[in-house]
Amino acid sequence: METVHLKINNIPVEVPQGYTILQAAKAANIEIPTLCYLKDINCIGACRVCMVEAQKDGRPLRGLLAACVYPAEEGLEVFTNTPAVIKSRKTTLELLLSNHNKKCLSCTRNQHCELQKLAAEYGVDEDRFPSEEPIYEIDDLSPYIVRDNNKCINCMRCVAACKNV
Amino acid sequence: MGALTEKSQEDKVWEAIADPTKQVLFFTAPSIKATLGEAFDMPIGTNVEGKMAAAIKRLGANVKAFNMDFTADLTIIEEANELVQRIKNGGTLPMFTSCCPGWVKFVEHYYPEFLPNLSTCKSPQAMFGAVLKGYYCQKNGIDPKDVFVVSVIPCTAKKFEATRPQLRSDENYDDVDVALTTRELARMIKRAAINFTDLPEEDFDAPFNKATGGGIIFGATGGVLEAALRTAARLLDGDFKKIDFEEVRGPEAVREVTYEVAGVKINVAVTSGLGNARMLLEKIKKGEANYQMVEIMACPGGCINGGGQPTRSDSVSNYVDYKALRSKALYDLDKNSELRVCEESPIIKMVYDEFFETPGAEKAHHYLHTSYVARSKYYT
Repeated sequence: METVHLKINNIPVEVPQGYTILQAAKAANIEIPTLCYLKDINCIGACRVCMVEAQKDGRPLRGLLAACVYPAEEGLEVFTNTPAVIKSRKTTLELLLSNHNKKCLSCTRNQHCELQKLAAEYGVDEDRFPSEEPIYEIDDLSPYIVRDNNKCINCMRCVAACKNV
Repeated sequence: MGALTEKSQEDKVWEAIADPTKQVLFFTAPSIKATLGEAFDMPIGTNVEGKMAAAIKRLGANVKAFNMDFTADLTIIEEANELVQRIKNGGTLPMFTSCCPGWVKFVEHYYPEFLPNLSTCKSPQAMFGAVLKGYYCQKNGIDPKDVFVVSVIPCTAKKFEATRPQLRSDENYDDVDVALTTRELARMIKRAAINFTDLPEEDFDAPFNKATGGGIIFGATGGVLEAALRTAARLLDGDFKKIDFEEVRGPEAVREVTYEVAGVKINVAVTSGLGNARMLLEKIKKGEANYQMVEIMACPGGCINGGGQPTRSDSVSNYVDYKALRSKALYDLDKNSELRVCEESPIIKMVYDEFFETPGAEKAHHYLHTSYVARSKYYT
């Protein structure tokens, strides 16, 4: 099996070719936060929470990379927690929350919510981008399932689960 | 993020518990004991059967907690008998399991030509409803209108199943009044301020308190087929000894095995996830496979990974094999059970002696079997 060598937060890592940065980081026991990623089911780089900084041959790569889809390359040096990365994640979360119904207290996901958890960890200002009033009608046509698109963050996980499982 | 949730039916149950004229009869599906603990921060795969029974009994003085593993045993008695009859009498084969309501409705919508292949056996949830409003009420002289039947299931589709008119053993009422997910039961326990982790281990209420290993493994993919094989093989060959059919257990996407019992070849297949189900059905349609029995669960891994189970964080979903940990709890229980073949259960003997007569008998058929309907592909 062909492998590639890279560094993540200065830690040397050797992983099989074809691994993503996210998988390589996991192999080195380094956590990178994700929202839309579902192993083997949804891997589309949609939420932009897993962004990392990287350089190759001493030169920084342009922009940030989505770790869940960017391949681990030979000689890549990845940094998962730089000020630029943290600022990007925080702004991304604030943007996600700008059109998210934030009534956490009455949400069934309260205290079991990945978005809520990351928002707390990154110290977001939930009102940095003021939200509009809820715009989607709640769909409770089914007798047993409720769909509230005002809480949807376009992670596409439900679509992927229906398509790929 | 809370965009998709089940409609909570907890309030209906609280109302019934508050009604002194009602007996509230709970029963919990095989997989719940392996998952409910997670809602109380216990390690994944902890068996909390004793605490779960204790918690349900503490929800109200008129509440009883029964063990649905018993009707999993009952399902197998009927289903294994049906399989043997189909094999002997040239009935429609392969026979498909019918315990998973997501799978059943999938066939009704997308593959109605396979409806005759679905076992006519009701699911364990539906059988328990029929046992309670039929046998139990009659035996104890209770008007079925005075009991409120609550199933606890790992599944949002079971909420739909409970309202299927084809499952009514009396046309005037549903056999199961409310189906609660594992998450809803956990919320009820929390709202009742019951300190779950500190509860003593208690037994389920008699008479439906015990089951065999065959009923317990219903909660994991391959479990229904394995339990059915244990019983069917003994129907074909009275001296059959094998109990563990490890070949049909997870985690491969599709498991295909051939067994030979008393000169009869039995080809079986197991899969879970509707994508895999579609693939298997297409294979059967094209004549590329020749099975006698097929087990399909809509959720990958079976009920232990059902849509009503406690939610997990991404770090668990993506990096911990929680399906293996949860199913291990069930297979460990099976391994350590004194009785592992469904017909060995004394409760099974009791309900047939006192009520259902024999497997497949007319009375058993009325209460324990059902029918299906072809549905359109589109919501109308």
